[in-house]
Amino acid sequence: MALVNLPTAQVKIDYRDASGSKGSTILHFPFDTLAAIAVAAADLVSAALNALSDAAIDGYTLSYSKREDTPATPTAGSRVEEKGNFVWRTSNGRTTRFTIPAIVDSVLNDSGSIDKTNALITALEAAVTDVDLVFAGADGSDITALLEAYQSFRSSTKRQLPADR
Amino acid sequence: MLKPSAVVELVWRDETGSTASTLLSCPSSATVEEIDASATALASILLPLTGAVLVKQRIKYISQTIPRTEPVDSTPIRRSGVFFFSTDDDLPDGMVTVPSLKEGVISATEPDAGVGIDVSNADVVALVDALLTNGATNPFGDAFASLITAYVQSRV
Repeated sequence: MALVNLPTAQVKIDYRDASGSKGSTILHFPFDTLAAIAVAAADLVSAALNALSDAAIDGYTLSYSKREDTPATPTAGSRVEEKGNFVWRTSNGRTTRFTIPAIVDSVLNDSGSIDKTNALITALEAAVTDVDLVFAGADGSDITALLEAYQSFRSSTKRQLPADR
Repeated sequence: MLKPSAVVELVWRDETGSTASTLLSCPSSATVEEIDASATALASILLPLTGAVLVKQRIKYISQTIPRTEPVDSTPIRRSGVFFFSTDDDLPDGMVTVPSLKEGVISATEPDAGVGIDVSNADVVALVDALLTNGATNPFGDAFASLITAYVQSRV
């Protein structure tokens, strides 16, 4: 049971034509290509593609993906629509957030807030605010403390509805 | 221009097979190795907090064209150029698609007039060179060796 990388990193270059329709070019580079080298290559190839296309290039995404080769079995009754929302304070006084789908009931208070004194939550806060981990706010500022944590429910998307409905 | 933040996406699957993601930001100056190590450490802490199971992890570096440019002509996106590349013997070939292909690179001489792409065109040569010298591969990681052929394709 392990996350296994795909053979390649993928660069998806996004285009937009005069009608607003969108398209893309997919490129691949060996997975062990350093991001800085792949970005430099993507910049070069993107410029060469731009000379061959009448569409506008809006940018590109460089992705390194891994998949679980033998996924574990989810807990009975788990639903990804039940989110744990975690709002964090950053060093520049702003906030950043992420969600944990299918949050376990054992960390919830009766009100639906998340028990910040729970050992699992204090471990999460220690990890996210730890300077050894690279996580930051979307603007690059350090994450300094857990501000709010609560349960919420999101509507199911069409893909999330039961297949046998 | 590369955005200042890269994105880590942890994809979770619940009992019903539905998936959802945890999205985290990190500086795009960090290496894949550094981000991967942090993602692995965090995932081990997240696992007891969810009834879902981790099925995928993606690290994404995002670049945006700034300032935004506009299309230079009305060529539709579906009018594409497809470029086929050989790899080593017995390995699958590779392909690169160019949407809204410029009319000027389409061959005007028989036998492939109007269909083939002029592989001697300077812009075509520049693209092929950029792909071959920068380590482009097919999805299986087999390096492109040379251009086999290129032609126009309308994709609908």
